[in-house]
Amino acid sequence: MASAPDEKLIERALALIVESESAPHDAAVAARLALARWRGRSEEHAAAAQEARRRWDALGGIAAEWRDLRK
Amino acid sequence: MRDLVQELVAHYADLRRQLTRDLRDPHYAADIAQSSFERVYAHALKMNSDIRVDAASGGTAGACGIESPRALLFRVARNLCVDDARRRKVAQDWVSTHFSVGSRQTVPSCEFIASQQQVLARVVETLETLPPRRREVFLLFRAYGHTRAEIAQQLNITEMAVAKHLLRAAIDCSRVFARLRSELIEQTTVSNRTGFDAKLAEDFA
Repeated sequence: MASAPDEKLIERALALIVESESAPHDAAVAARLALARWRGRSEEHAAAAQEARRRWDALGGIAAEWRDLRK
Repeated sequence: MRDLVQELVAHYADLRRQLTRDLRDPHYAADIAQSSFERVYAHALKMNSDIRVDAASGGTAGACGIESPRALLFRVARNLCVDDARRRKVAQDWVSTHFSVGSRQTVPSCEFIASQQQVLARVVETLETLPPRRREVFLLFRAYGHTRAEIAQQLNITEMAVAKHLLRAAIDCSRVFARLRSELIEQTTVSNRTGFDAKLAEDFA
């Protein structure tokens, strides 16, 4: 199992991902560009961005499950 | 606009029947049909207001600007199904990525299945303990696919407040993944210690 990226970095990446997916058009594009730049800073940033993306995607799946469980 | 609503209502039953047949889950089918209806309706409302502006300036357009409400309704439903399936799969993928103990096996190990259930249970538990407004914003966005603007309007708060709630909820839930990850690593370390072979133990079970 690979070592975990720093949690603070993961949360920073998560903030950019959430902004890029939820903001109105121009702000979303700006967040996507900011995330791309941020990810390129180091391998650790890239790993944190990857983990943040996995968590965000997983949360989508879990939210859908939760919605179904509430029925 | 009224014609469009009547037309959508007329096709809604067909859509629900088809979704029930395809998805084999009447509740899930009803959810998708409802979300599709709401999205097409919201789209028509927006088109309608644009057309009014257009007509006032001398332009012409069809009723609400939607050529085939039925086709649009079914297309939106199909897209929602695809998005939903993708989201469900990625929850499983997170566990697959972080829990590779049973990766050599062709069928998921008991540990793997338990981990998946653990992730789901712990995140759901966290969601349930979030402040109600934060949880509502998060679920409207992530489970029901509403936009920031729609959520702001629905909850009568600003889009900035929606953005803050959404990020806070995402971070709260993200920390659950971090804790689970540490626990999974600890479990793996224990089961890999010399003198304890989980695989061997299973063979004797």
